[in-house]
Amino acid sequence: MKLIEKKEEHQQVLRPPRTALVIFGATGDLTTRKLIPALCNLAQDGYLPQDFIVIGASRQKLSDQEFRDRVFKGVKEFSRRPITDQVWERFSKNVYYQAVGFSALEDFINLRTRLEELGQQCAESLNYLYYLATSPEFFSAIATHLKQAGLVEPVQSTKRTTSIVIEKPFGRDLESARALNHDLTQSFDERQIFRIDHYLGKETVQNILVFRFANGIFEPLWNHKYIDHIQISVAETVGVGSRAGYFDQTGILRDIVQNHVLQVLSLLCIEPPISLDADSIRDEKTKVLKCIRRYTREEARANSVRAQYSAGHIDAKAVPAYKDEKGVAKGSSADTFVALKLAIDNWRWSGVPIYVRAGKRLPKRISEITVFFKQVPDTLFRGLEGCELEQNVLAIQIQPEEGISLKVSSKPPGPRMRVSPVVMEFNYGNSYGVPSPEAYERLLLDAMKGDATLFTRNDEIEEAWDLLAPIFDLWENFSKDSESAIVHDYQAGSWGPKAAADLLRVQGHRWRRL
Amino acid sequence: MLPSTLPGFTRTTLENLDSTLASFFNDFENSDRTVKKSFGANFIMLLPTRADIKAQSSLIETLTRLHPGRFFVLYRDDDLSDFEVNVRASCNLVGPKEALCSELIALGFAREQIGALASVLRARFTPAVKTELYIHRLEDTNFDVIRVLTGLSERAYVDSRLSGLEKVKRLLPFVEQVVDIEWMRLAIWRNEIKRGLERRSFMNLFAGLSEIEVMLEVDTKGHFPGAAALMAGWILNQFQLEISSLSGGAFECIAPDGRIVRLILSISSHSQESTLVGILLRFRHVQGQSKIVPFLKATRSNQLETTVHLDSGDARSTRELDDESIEGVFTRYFSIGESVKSYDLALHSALELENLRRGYTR
Repeated sequence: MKLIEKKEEHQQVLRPPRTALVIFGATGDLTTRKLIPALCNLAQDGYLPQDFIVIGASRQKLSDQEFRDRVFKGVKEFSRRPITDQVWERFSKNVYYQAVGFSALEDFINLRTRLEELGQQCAESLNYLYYLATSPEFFSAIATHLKQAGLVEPVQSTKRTTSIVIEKPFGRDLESARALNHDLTQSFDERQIFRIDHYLGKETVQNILVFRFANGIFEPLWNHKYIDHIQISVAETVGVGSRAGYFDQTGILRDIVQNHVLQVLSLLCIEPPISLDADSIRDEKTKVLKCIRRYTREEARANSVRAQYSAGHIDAKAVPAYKDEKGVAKGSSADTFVALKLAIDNWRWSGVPIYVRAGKRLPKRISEITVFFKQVPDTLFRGLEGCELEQNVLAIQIQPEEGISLKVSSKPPGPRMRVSPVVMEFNYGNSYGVPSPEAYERLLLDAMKGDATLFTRNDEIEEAWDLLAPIFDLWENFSKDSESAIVHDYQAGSWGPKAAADLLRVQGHRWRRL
Repeated sequence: MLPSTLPGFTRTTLENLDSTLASFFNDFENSDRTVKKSFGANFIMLLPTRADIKAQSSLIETLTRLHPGRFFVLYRDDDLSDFEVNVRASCNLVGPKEALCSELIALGFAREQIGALASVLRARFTPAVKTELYIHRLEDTNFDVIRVLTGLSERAYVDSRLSGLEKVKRLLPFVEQVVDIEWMRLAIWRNEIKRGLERRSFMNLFAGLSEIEVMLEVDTKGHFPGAAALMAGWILNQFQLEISSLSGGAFECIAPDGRIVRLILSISSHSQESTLVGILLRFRHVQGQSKIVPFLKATRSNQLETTVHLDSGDARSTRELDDESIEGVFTRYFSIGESVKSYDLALHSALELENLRRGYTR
């Protein structure tokens, strides 16, 4: 078979069925920066379905061409690689716009008419995929109106598949997450709901499963007997920017830890699933989340640190304190930095501290999972100068570069016995001839195919809210307890408050330098 | 007027620093060599002025060869209005067609940029490797910068011959480990003394020691030279003696068993350098016996001669002196590994001796 035929066959296997993608909130940042560029890259690689249309839906009144022009700017600026004119021309012909008021049923009925008209141009009926790139307050209304307008088929329908993709945040706490899910499941079956966490679309995160279960050398060590502790760090250099209004009500524990961090943690710590299908993996992830210790108030106090950045410098640029950013309420106690110590109470992980830190206005943008292995018995090298042993450390870097490194000890060349750490590295960019796709490319493709493996299930979301509830309660209900109101300070451009370092020092640990 | 580019470097800005560095390695793609960038260490060098980059070029080349990684060569220039950034790659052949390269980032800053300096460095440190700091000269005027840099570093290299022991001591609380280049220069003396003293015939003598006479011969300007002070402090520590007071020209020290041991310390000086040229150790036992042990001096031929006076006769040995330049010391440190154990204790003892000599009471 010729190479070109092989490629076409390969694309055929990966290509989803015919789909109409309706993006609610299409005039927002997410569509311009992520969704349309991702779709264009899929188009360029030949992975979009044979018949594929995009309808941007938002309250604004725009023509189809105005919408195309708007998103084209985003493609030029934010696509991970240049999109050829040919690809854009072919793709943009199937990009449309429909003004939809999210609380107006009539607009949804008009949307249905539009979809049916556009569908007539296709050989077979299109599946409908609804992407909610809106503020969360509109999720319930949109889902309800889709149902009322006849735009939701039952899950067993043979006519077409209808699904809905929703972006985080999934609620604000356990109660609101349950309420949201209740509203969604009034209109959609759980199997039709795709809750997106874009971290799960990153290659390195997907690689965790392969790394753990396709290599014989790591799984025997992946437990409390050999692992000393785990650190997960999500660092951003940016401040709140234009999201101050949203962020001030949310904080970073909700914005990053509840979803991205806990998703990554659960993948890192799961038992081997019985298969690679979506529910088998998600079952195991949920079990990990269930096993994470629910803290008492005192434990929450001892194992959590929240902080807010003060004025400082990010790479020589002076930046203001959080409280001085535009849109931040006076006296705000929103956390721009959080550090936690978690514990997983099961046989595999008992006694292994899991340290998490996430923060804005940190010195560099980097997200990393680091596994610290236990120190060997220091009998052979004890007392020999230049032979101070360091732990083996496995680092899985999620962004900006994607890769894995392993720190081991070795002897430097020379006449004396000395021990020095060296790092063995695997970097996606250097190892494979193809660049990694953007997370949204993989996730959109999977949503169109109906593969929910990389999407979160409702019970995972509820467990994540449940385990963090004591910390939210401590931080937000402090009227009786002034100690819990402590919001530490850290200078923008530093790695966080001293209290975060103290959290680890209790067990003789320290944060890895990033 | 824009500052001129440093010789051998490429002028750039903070925003373009990474891409400029990357371009050096992209250029290598067309060569027939395999070129690798080292991620072994973050190494900060604090030099007094821009001109010192050229003056210390041999040291920079030595360090990039022996301890490759990402180098930040910092200098202060209060006439600058913003950071001055120059970069280059420093590559050394590690095989017939294989080169290992360090990245050099020369960063000039003025007083106004000191507050932002840490943010610039943190944003560019290679993750998860140690950060080390070389301070060419400790001055009162640069301690503000030093405080910032020690906060980022696990180890600091200084030369007490240039900076003075008092200033080195000021540094100790701010960094996990201080490596004194002068201390490493003295390793050869310490090793010879230990070798000389680790003889069975001396064990009974040391058990009942009542007096140690230490004569240090140095080329010095007349003040208590660092090298001599460190050796005296180290000798005290080896005998586990704690300084008590200065009385009648001798230091009174307390041994672990409560004995008072007198330390007679004399320093003879010659010329302008602060180089140790000779040590004479004489011991007196409680019963009044005395022995003259390792008399060490540097001969004109640059050799270290050790003479140990034993009952059976003199034992002599000779060895070549080490290269005492900073480059030579670093070469030994990174290639062979020099001992830096017991430095902190020796430094404290040395400064105590000096303070007592100056009349400061405990």
